[in-house]
Amino acid sequence: MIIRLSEFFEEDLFISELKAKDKVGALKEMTEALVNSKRLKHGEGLYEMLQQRESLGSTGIGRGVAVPHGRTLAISRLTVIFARSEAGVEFDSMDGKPVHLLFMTVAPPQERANLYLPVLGKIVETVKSAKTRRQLLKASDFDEITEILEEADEGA
Amino acid sequence: MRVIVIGAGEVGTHITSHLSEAGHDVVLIEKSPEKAEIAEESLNALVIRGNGASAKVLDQAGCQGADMLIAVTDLDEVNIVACVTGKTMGIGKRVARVKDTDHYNEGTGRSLRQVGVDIMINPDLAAALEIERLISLPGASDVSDFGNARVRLVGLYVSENSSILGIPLKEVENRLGTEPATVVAIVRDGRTIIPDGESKLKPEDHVFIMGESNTMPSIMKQLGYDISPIKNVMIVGAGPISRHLAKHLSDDKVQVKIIEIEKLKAERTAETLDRVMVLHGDATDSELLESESIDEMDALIAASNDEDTNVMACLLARHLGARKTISLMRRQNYVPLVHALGIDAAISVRLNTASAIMRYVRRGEIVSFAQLKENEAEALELVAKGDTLICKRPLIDVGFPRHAIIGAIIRGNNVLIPRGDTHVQDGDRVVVFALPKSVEAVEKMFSRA
Repeated sequence: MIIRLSEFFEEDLFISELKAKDKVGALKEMTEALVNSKRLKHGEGLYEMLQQRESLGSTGIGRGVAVPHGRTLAISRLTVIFARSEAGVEFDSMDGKPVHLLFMTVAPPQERANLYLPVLGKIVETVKSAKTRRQLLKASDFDEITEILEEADEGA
Repeated sequence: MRVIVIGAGEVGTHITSHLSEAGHDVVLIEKSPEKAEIAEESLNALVIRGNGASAKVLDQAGCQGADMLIAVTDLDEVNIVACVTGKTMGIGKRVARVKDTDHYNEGTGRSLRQVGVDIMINPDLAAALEIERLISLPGASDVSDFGNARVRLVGLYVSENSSILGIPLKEVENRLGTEPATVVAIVRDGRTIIPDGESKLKPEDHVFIMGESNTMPSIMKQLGYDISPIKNVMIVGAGPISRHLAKHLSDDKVQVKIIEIEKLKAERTAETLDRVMVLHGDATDSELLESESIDEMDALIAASNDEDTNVMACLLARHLGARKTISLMRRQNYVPLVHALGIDAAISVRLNTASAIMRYVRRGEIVSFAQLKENEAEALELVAKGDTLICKRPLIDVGFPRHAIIGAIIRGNNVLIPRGDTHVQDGDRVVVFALPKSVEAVEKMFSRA
């Protein structure tokens, strides 16, 4: 199965610069963006689910990247919310460093194409490249982000 | 053959016991007095106390004129120095267990070979490769390869509702039709039986089938076993075995997630593996397993250093819906319990290392070797010579030893599954499955008088 990451990122689910400086704030802000986008059947429980997952171990996977994720009935298809923080968010990461790129991935419990794990895997693989991380941080708008992701998709 | 074994750990003890039972003259060297004493009591071999890397101790062990030195202490350096010393003393072949992958690396490995290590066995890599083979056939409990991987031996548990229960094996083999295979062993109540065509399978039997490697998936499918490919794997623990395995699997486009409980180890592992998600957390926490989608995992491989964590993670994962669970076992005495616990397969690092080493130890004609985990039965790959007994007549008249069976014959580019009228020819590579008491008789059939 070929996953094209660029197809899963959407402009209204892109937060160019987070206001939040800590994990709780960041999760809330990203959840809100999702609620405002009207993609949710209801907003209940999503933040709690993500928070609960973080309490079991941080999804801050190092190198300034966090991948909060989970499944919820509130959403009908796999959705990625992408947020950046130039100043960095304290995320209790594996390497103890603040997080600058956040990829929140939420999916319904049953999805036909079963893309949840492959998409998560693809995100992790893509941001392993220091160059891609730098480009994603520097990109001035969503179009540029799409280009960077497309380039990463082609390279794979 | 005279063999010097250095290190009376589980690997060294296993090899010593095996070789001395097979009639070889074995000297075991062990530094710790306690371990040496235990070995002396339990083994039929000469045990010498001392440092196996020291020329003096090796001399005392009668190194001069020995055919082989096997250095399997826990320390790479000791093993390597022992081989170097062994070379200067004229020991024919030298094997070292080497854990550090920098030594094992082909580039630097060549220089180690020059100084005297003929064969390096990396236990972590060997274990990772075994797990990879197991994953390639999800329904199997054991997978070993012969004849450059053209012949495969697969272990399967027979369930109560299996379609092959109570049917004579010759009929089971007939059913397979154009993709023949041989049932070479049945392990029942802890005993190994070498079956014949009339033998029938019972529930809970652990059966071993040999056939051409590329037909095994279809054979397993016909017998009702799971062969759907593995796409998502969760690995518990970020040790060297996990890293080798994760690298190989992700290179094969399998989605791999590693859960490691130590933050620093998780971080370091994440740095070295490009396509793998490494998470920090406790894999015995059912909530974490659930939120990491354990129910969608085709396999959970518990490969941490902690045996209890491994067993617990497997049991939880199975309970939460993982398709297959494989546990690493540091101590081989737990291995027989695994199936009873509901874990699909267990890898014993030490037994696996011992088997890997034994491949090089057997007499000249034998080119490959594997051993069943829960008993002492062996699979041997032998090369037939035209002027030996095995080539004289068709198999049915050759008087093949009891408690031994030919699983497959590799002739040129073909794999043959033998029947009574098959006639072994010069140059055939013959894969034999035998109980220990019959190994010598089998070897005789392949040796010139």
